[in-house]
Amino acid sequence: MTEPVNEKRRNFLVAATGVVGAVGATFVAVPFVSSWQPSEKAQAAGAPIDVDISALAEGQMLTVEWRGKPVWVVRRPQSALEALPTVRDGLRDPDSQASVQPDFARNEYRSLKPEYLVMIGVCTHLGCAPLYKPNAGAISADWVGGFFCPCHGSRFDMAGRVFKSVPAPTNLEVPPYRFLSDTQIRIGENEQGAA
Amino acid sequence: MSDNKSNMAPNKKLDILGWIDERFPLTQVWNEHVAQYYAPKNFNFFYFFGALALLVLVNQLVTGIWLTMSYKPSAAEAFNSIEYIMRDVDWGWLIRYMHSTGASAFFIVIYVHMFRGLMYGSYQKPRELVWLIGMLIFLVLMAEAFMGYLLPWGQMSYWGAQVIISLFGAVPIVGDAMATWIRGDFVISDVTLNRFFALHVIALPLVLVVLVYLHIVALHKVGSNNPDGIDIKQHKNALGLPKDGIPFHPYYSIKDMMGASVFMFLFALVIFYWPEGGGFFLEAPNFEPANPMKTPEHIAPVWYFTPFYAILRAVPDKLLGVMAMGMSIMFLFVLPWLDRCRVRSIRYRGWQFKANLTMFVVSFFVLGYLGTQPPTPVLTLLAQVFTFTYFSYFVVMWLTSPMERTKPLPERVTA
Amino acid sequence: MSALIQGLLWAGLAISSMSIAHASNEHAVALDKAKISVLDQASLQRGADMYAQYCMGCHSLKYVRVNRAAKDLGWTAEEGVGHFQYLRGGKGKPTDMIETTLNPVTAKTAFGTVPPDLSLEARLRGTDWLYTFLRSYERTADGKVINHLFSGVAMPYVLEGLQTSLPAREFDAKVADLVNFLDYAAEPAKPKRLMLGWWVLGFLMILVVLTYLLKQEFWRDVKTQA
Repeated sequence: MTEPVNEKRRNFLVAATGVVGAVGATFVAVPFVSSWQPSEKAQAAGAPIDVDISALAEGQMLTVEWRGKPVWVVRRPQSALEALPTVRDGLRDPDSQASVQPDFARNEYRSLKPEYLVMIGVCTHLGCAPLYKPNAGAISADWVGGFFCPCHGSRFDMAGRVFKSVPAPTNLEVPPYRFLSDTQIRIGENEQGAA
Repeated sequence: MSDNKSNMAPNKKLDILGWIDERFPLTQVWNEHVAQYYAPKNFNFFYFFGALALLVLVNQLVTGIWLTMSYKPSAAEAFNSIEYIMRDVDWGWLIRYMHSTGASAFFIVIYVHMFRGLMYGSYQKPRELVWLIGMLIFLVLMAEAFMGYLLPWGQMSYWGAQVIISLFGAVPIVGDAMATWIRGDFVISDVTLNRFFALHVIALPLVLVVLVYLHIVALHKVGSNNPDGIDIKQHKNALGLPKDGIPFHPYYSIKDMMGASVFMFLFALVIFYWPEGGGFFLEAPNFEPANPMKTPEHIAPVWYFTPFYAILRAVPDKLLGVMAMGMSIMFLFVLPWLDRCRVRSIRYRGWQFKANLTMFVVSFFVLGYLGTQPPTPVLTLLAQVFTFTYFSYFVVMWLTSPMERTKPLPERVTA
Repeated sequence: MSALIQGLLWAGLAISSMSIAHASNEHAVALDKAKISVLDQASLQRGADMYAQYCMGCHSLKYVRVNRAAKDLGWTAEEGVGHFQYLRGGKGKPTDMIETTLNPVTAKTAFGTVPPDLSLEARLRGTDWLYTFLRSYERTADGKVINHLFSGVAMPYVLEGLQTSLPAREFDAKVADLVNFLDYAAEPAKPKRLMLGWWVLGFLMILVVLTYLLKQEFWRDVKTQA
């Protein structure tokens, strides 16, 4: 009376159910994993911000907040721009090969327009906030002006490029930004779109 | 090195499973509860619901944990945070619907599961403890659902909790003090929400999980009942295994997977195309934030509480109403001792049992419906009639069960 | 299988017993059915513009973010600002919530109540209710405004100009668009939910068939054993 068990059919069904079940489990996992992504509220809070720079005088720095981090806008005087090539030999990453910036800022000025420097004010060493020290000799006799991190003494030039033999490994980060007009900068978005 | 080898016992398994088994009875537990747990081979449709209850429990635990990640248990933020989950969190809406639909699904599954027990006499000796632990699970589940329902902080959440907690005020002398103590305030407030949150997400789920574990341990000690209500251990083969039993795995594990698939299909159907469940799973007034100054026109508890709520309202005296509601659940606890017939299954019991159970089910559903409706004189009278028939189930059971004319039991289970 | 039929019989018994109890139930004003679909993007766009034009002056949608709504309605974020900030001359950020221009204090003195936020109104009242309500206004012979569904409503007859100038059919269609948009606003995930559901159900159908075949295959052991 007993029929022989069709092992082939049985194994096939076990495998097929196992595969479909595993695919299903993966599908179920997707919502749970994705729900840890920044929510729309968080994304809205991190949306691009517009900065009015019409009142920014030469040599002045403006600090704004974007995604909870300080962003600096510095209007560099001609003298500071002229000093940039002179420190090149003392820099760790003068051409920003190992640093974080949009492609348009991978140049000597590390900016879209040489006059305006837009940079995230967080030290690439351990996340302290460096100080803006534009005047020569402010930190030491050989200081030509730049940014100085008080926590562990990292030094950056007026383009946020890091000097050799300090703890910070890379240049200060440049966020995506674009000029809406001559006096309006949108931070968090470049010509291609939002960051 | 070779010296060490001689110290090892011969035939010792060197695989991972062997390593574990020497330190933890993994294979033993697996065999005892799954691979060599012999269940009657004649389980029918109603026997899917135990496994389904476990599935829904897991669903509630997992989605609940995820909701906790975005929910804010404070009067000021609770309602907003639910909308935040529904709108801003990636897939938050799906996780929330899984949880809200899961709550109703839990009660549907549990009610069918309990009905199965009533039909086939699964509460009878020797399964009294299985039944009692199960009833405790039901009680804790009701508390869990009640406290969870306050968390969205909508109008129904607020006023439903207000009404139910006020019931404690019916207790003589200490009643009002007790209600205040439970709320931690003079009305339902931020404090109440906070403590209900703690109980809903930590305390009661822990108790539930422990009780479910005990429920299964007790069941596996005495073995599963079946639709014929006869003992499969009477007939054993040469190996000492019940002739009408089959190992849980793979037969019932696979069958339950099929049941789970069908269940998940229906569950998904509700989540994607009927998440409000016609106003029963998500009640419309709960889309308005709690407002202590304005009571909704009509307050009804969620559907799974309405039979008991109807009993409460049917009794014209506050204290007696609360007592009647309590008794309606307490009577179920003592059912194993009220049923004095030794035949378990409805298949072989007398007409009294069948008529009685039918009347009980009708009463339960009618009361459930009445609990959703505003009380009019006619409906209140109807509720009183069916409250009477609800309780008569227990009395009639006790009176008629010893003298029922039962049918002869089969020797072996029927297909 | 017989147990399944038995289960259905019990369920049938239960439902019929409930309908007996239902016999003595009164009914309020019959609601007209709003024939709408959140999958109809053109209707949602028209409804959003209706909202901006006629409702936003008093009612906010504080849970609805402009850029999200714009995306779901098929607009860019900038277009969204243009449509939803209609009353502010298109000024505002894409990440703003849809707020009203009405000052709550002014509202209290003008209407005796602050007009409610409408983010969840479609789920609170139901779309049929909204559709009926907005079409139930009437100006009586003595110039008084009444609403047949909601007597004593504080909201003025906002759509009067539209209702009196358009043929009834066109007016109904405009109201339906508005209600459709409110339905979307009450549950922005709804279009996604409705679209995704078919895939999930299709997948689960495959799983049901496979597990059924698997169960039949294994249970042949049990059938032959007896």
